[in-house]
Amino acid sequence: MPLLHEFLALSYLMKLNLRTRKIAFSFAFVFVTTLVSAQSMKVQGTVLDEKNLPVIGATVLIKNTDTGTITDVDGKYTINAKVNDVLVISYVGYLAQELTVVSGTDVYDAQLSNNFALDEVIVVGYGTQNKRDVTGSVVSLSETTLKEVPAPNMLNQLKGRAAGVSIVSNGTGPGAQGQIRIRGNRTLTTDNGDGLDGPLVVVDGIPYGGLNDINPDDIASMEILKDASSTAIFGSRGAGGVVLITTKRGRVSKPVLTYDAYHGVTNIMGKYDFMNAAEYVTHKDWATKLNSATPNSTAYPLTPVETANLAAGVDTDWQDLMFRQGFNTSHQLGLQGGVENTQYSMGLGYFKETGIIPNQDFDRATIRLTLDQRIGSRVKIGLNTINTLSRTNNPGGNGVPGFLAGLTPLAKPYNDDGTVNLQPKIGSIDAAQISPLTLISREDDILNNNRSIRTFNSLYGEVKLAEGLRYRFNAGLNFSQSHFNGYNPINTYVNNATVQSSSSADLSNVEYWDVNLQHLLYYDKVFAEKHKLGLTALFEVTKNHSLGSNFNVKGVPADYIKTANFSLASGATIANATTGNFFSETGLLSYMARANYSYAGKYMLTATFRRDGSSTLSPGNQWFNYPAIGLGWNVSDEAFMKNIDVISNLRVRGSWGLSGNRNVGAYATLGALSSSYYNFGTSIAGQVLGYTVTSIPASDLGWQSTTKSDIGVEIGLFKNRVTGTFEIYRQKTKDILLSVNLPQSNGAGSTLKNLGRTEGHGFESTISVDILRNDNGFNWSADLIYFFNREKITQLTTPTELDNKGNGWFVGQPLTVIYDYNMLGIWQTSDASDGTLSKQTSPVQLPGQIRVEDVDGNGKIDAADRKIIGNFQPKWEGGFTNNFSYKGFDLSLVTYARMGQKVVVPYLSGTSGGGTGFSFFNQGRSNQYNVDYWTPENPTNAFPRPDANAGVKDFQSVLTYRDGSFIKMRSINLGYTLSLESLRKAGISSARIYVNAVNPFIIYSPLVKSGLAIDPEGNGTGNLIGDGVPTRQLNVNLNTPPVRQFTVGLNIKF
Amino acid sequence: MKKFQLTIIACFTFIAFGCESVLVEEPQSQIVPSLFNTSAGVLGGIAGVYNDIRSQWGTEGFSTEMQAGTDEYIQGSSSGGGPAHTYNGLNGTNFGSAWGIAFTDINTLNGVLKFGEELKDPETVKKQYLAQAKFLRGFWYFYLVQTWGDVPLHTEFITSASQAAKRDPASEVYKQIIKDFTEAAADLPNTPTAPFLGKAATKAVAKFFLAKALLTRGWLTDNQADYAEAAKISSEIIAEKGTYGLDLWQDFGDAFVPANDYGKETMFVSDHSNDAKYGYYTVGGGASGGAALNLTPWFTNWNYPSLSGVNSYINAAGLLVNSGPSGMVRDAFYGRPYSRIRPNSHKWTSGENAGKNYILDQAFVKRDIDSRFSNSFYTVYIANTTSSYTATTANNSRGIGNTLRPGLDTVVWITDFEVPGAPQFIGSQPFKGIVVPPSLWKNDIFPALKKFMDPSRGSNFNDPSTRPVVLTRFSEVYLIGAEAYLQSGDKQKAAELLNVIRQRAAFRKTNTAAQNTAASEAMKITANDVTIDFILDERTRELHGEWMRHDDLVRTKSLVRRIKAWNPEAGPFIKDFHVLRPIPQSQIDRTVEGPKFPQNTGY
Repeated sequence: MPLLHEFLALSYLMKLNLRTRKIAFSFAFVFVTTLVSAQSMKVQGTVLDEKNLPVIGATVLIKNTDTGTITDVDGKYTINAKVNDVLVISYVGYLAQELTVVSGTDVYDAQLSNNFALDEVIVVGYGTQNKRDVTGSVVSLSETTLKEVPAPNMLNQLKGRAAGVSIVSNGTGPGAQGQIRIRGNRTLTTDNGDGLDGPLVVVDGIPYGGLNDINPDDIASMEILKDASSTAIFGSRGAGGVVLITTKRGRVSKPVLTYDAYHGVTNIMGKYDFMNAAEYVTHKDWATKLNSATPNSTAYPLTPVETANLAAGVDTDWQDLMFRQGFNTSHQLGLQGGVENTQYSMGLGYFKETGIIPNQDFDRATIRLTLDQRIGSRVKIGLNTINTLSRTNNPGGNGVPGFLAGLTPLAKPYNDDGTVNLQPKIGSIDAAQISPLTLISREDDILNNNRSIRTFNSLYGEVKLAEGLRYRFNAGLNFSQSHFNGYNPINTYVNNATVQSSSSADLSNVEYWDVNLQHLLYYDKVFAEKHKLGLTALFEVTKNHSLGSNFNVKGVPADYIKTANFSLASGATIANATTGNFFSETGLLSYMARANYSYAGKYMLTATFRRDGSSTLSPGNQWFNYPAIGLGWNVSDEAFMKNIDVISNLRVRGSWGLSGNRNVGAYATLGALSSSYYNFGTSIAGQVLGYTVTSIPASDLGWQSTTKSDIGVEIGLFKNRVTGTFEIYRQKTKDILLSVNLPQSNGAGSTLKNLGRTEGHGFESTISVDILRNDNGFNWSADLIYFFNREKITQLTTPTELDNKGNGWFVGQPLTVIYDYNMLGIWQTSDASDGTLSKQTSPVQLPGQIRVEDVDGNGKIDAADRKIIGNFQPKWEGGFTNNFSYKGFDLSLVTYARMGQKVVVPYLSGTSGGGTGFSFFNQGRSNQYNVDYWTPENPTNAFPRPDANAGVKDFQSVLTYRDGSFIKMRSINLGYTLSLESLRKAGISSARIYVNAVNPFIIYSPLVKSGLAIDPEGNGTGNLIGDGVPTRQLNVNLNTPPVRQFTVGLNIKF
Repeated sequence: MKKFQLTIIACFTFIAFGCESVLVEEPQSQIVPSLFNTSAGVLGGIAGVYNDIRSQWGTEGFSTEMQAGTDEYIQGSSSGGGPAHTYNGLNGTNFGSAWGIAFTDINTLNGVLKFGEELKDPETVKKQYLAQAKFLRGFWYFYLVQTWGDVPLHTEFITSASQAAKRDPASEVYKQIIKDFTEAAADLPNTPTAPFLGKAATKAVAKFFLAKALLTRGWLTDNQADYAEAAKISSEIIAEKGTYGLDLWQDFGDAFVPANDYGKETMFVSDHSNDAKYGYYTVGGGASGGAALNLTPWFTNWNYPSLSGVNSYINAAGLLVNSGPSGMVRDAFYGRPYSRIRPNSHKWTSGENAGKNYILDQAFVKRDIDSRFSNSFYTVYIANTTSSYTATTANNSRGIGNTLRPGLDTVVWITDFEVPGAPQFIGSQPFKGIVVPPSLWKNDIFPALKKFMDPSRGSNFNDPSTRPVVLTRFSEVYLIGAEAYLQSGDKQKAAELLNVIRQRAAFRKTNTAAQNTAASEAMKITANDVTIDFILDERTRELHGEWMRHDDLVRTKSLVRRIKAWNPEAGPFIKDFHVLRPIPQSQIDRTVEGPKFPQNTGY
């Protein structure tokens, strides 16, 4: 039936021009009419949606033929059919409907309903499954849900939306991502990369390698696999859970063009409470008076300039000068459609975001195409290509707020002639520091640009070998390159130097590519009506490569050259010795088999077996097996349930299985030498490459594995107006692969070992209620999710080893704990006079200094007085989403909570030279956060006394541990769907406009309430101060500030 | 790559033939231990250890550990406090930056010694490599045993990881040290030989460390044989100085001229260089505090850019208060102001040293004839920026205005004697800048050590110094020899050796020959003058700031006594047990197999 195809192709072209669209429909009638055969009769009908609005462009096909048509602007169609022909009426996002032509009737109207019924098909590992038959724990999220929070990446959209999925921010700069954990952590490590405990991300069946660069608008749906029954099939990569992303693909329909756009502004979430001029002077005075070495002296007095400015009333608010309003904008154009043998979809997207710190920005463009083609009745092939180009510019880095905190308010930001006062700290010991306002005034000279291109391509071919037997080949080809160009001109915030020979340029390049090949055999068969059997077999090979290079040079002759020509620089080009230059290659071979069996749709069994071999382990230890089994029972289908009207759905399922972490890096078992350089004397003849042994070979390493068990209940009440999922799970991880810190006297600082066990258990619940439902009136539905995870270490090297303080591990405790001194308060003057203070013989302290608990009561505070004083595991997390609609209006409110965990606030302590905390905290050398500090006149127990000698002297790390609980309004989204006749006449099938606020306000946060931070959510992870070991805890630091975002958006569908 | 392509083709066929090669690892961008089987690997192991030595000597944390809290030094205004200065609360979490590095290096050297034996290189090359490795192993163990006492003794290359560790008796460690130094001294060349150029270990260096190790062990048990051997070896080195190309400069000051860094008086250094790769130096890179950065020149620099106010005055409490425009900005000549430690000029008002301050009244007491005070400290700060004040500028009590001209006028004159009328007058004469006599010295204004200053930094005055850190200067051979002779009862010989360096110190280029002869005579001491305290004072005069004071005090069993006598900050807190440092807590925490790793007594 080539004519129909030609017609459809023509109509795609013509529909781009809306004015001619109606003409296209006229043509349609002409052409379709020519297809009429003699025996047929003319039938017609109207296709409406649930709201009784006409569906434009719905496909009407006669089943098992190529004959078809599409509905017009009024939802009407006409087609020639014979008696007993079946009309298949379908439209994207709706369930297809079948109507059989009977004699004597020529009108066949249809009403399509939304495609979210229980019987929908969902994506599982290496295939799809009817949702009723799934025995594992899977969260499905639709595009609509994700879009309720307009954000550049899906992690930001997922917060508080899926039970068991924790997302913490690890940055707030433009383009920043988050860290995702499914059912907590399993691995003992000091690392926090997603590579260890994070999930495996699979896009359209092919491992994607991280969540970066996925344009949320390309996502049609997302499935999050949590338990063993669904993740064991991914073997050595499944323990952290699996995120399956399905991108938008074409369906059989007339072409549907969509345009989604939004434009928003962002503002800092609050103002940091830095000291103003008066507070700064007072603090300096106290630091001088309370100098613990020589009272009444300071090396950091007010400079002559500061004294003059104080007299002149200068009180500069650097935050007002630096932070500005950011904006973001997103434009996404999509086209999908298809006829029976060919379906396609394509997308073009552009996103841009500017930061609230000058010159910070991020943009991303994506181009995407999918094509599915059937060849004959046995073969089907398809292609998916996603191409992303993104760019991040972050010239001042993320530490700008920390620098602003330290700036004196007694400096004029600008000179009298309007130029930037380059050295606001002139006259002080820190005079060399240059004003951050140079980030604005020298905007064109400073370069800090990261450009990435990623092309992700997958191709499949499927052959039907026999009835029920299919062979499928999947090939994935993934390449990404990210290229960094940095230039730091002299006399700027980013480069204090004053001579051009100190200007510096950086170039780095990281290439990553992988190849993934999968051979799959599927066999599906229903025996004797009730026995449904599905078998899957897989052979898979994956090879990953990465290659990085990083070079820098000093002495770029002029600012305009930047990184364009390293050969012009006066210095030699240097390859970075510590980071950026690397090569690694890893391989993974896998075999997998799966059997699904269900009886009468009531009893389900899924059994999987996978065997993985990895190159990163030593020969002899490379292979491991991962079995899993899942059972399900659709209780509500049993006869005895039929009479219970209240319960419309009841399902019980359980699973057990084994999965793993492939967390040994390439070459990690080989041992390593650190390389260094030395010059004997000053001549070139004395230049020698050096090596020291820093890592001992670990050739007997094996696999780490996690056993998971899960029981879940799904329930639907009152015709599914109330649905709920409740799950409990337990997971045990053993043979944990980790880097063990060795006693340093044994030569190398660390080695890798298989030791240790951890356990986790938790509870997850999701309840959705359709509270009010009125097609033409007010609708209200709500989703409530609540979950918690408890993790603990159950064994270290041997059963008798109860702690490993050097690594911060304690049996029976969560994986990341605070092991430090216990702050009791501040030593008061009265403690000195009544002799309490002098009972502590070491260290000898003064009133106003931090008082910690002498746990062993021996009068000496030392390592033995440290204890576990908290951890970073939330007591619970949750989300509460309300959706309202009234006529054309819709409103969604997303609330998000994480309660009962600690965070680290590094800027509330300090080190003399910077390092982990705030430089010179409480020393009076620089300005700082305005804390409630002790003075003889203010005998607080909150913060110690200022001290020009050494800032906070002893135990300062204890000041940083704070309650990080919060409940936040994550998003408010108010939309209006236009349904004007005139729009439809113009060919627009639907249009929605909306306004949205992200992070509009904080409902509960003790940290923010105390004034010590502006956002409890954190913006990174890092080392604890002092003796702290873990690096997994969340930091709330003075980094790029968190923002509040207001957006106006538009969704149009043609 | 070709192999990989074949693999991919094989894997396409749904049959695993050939696919197994996907699981083979071929590292390309990292160095694995098998490199030690090559000549380059063995040499690299030695160079790696030298690089680690420079990651300690001359860097901030390590220098603090070696010098803070002694009789020579008290805290500067930016010391950052800390128990290293006061012993107050000193424990295993705040001490021991070199512990891990020393053991990593010892293990590396054990690897070098193991694989070095099998090298196919010429015998002379091989011999030198092995001798270097032995010297370095002895060097690190000598540091460890002096600092911590009993430490784990490893002489075999460790190839499998263990979480057990134990301490071996110091006597065993000393045996190994003396064996290593003895064997190194036998095989090392007389003078630096490629590739170990500059002032790497030579025969003389190994002999000197052998003498010092013997002397140190001698003190532990009052072993006369060790003293005698140490004395004998010291005399040998002095007698054979021509063979080794070593000697004293005529002028003490010449030992610290950058051009003489690799001169005849320099025995053993940790090198630095301007090379971006081999010296880890980037122009204008500043000093991030990382490894291999020599920051020594600046630890004793007070904050002259901020605190050189030309109208500074004395307040009611008798303290100098900074006031008025500063005539100084940061520059390369005066160096970056770190203000971490300062010469101990605390004036005692009571006790055995009442009325004395250590630097002026005990150590550098003969400043008129002994050139070493003026050769060690900056006392005059010449304006390097224009500043001016009027008769009415706040706190100007001179009654007149002045303009201070860069390069000409003195902004701050730190005198080593009291000046009536200071800071703004000399007697009744107004002084253009300010005069800061000893009574006004405090933790933010004091004479700065100039021995190591590095004016070659130019406009990049924040960069680390690339002068070598001189670990051993030839004059120390005389001091160690003198101490060994004193301990073996030969005061006469001790005085003879001390007189060599004392009389050298009398020489000034600006003196007439007659004046030099007279001064030289006046510096002479006799056998009866020689006591251990005298030698320790002499070491301050000769070696002030040269990274070894703490060890000197510990070796001579003088730490607690002299700190109580001289250091007002550490005196109240120091206890007998402080002669050994606390074992790093991480070592104790990480020893989780077998018996616990014991902490030193008292901590």
